[in-house]
Amino acid sequence: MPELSGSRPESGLELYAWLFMRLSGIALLFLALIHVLIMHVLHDVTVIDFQFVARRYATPFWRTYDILMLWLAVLHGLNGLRTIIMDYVHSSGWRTVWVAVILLVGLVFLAMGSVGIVTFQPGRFALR
Amino acid sequence: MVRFFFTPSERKQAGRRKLERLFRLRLAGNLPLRQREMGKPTEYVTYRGKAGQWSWLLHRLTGIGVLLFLLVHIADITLIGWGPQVFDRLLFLYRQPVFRLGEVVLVAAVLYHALNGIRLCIIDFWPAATAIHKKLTCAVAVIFTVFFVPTALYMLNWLMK
Repeated sequence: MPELSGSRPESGLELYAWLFMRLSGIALLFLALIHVLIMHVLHDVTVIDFQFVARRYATPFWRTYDILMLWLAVLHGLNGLRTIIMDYVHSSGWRTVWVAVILLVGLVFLAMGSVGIVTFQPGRFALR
Repeated sequence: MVRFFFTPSERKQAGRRKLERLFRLRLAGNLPLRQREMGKPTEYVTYRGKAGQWSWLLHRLTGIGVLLFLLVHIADITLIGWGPQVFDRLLFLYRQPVFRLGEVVLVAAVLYHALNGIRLCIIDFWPAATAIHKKLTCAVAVIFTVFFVPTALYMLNWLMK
């Protein structure tokens, strides 16, 4: 039986996924909107460059903020994509394929983003 | 028995049913009642083309759009590990007018998805709110406009110069 959007699953993993979407959504409301406000509205791409990020990442606060936002946003987005796909794909074989693809994309992008944020050391490059 | 040939009206009906499925829509006058009863029951929520229909569609479209941008955004931010030359060259791409207009669309998508998400949470965690669901939908539209219009004007300031 396909998931009913807007209706709450009764139990199990689907209930936790349902709850996660709402809780991560509320968290992202602050994380993502503040991020968009600072990085895309107040400072636009003409101001932001390597040095801007280097100064931002000098203290652990924004790194922690970005890591948290990265994980919540990727999991929220990919789980949303899964919900949409499950609405239109009903054979269990193709469902498994899609879930595998989503998991792989999630793993790759979470690893990429986390490594990028944690290992960033501006001191390794000579600043102009 | 598997049929390979369908009359034009059968094909039209099948197409409409596909549309109904894709957009969770109930098209008026699609099938005579008796034939609809004979068909499979709809096991998904339908919205019959009212405000809920558009909220639902917009929430999905903005969600997919933001997710696609998010993945691209993770990939480009990862390039910062390759140093200022690589990273600043990439930012040159984002400074093109097309991308700056796209950024405004992105802000609209994030803002709408966030506000409509609040509406969904209110309905889900407080079922009594379904009684005022029309007001909530209106509130989303009003708050979106109030926040988005000044933001878009501020972001597009460079166009006027």
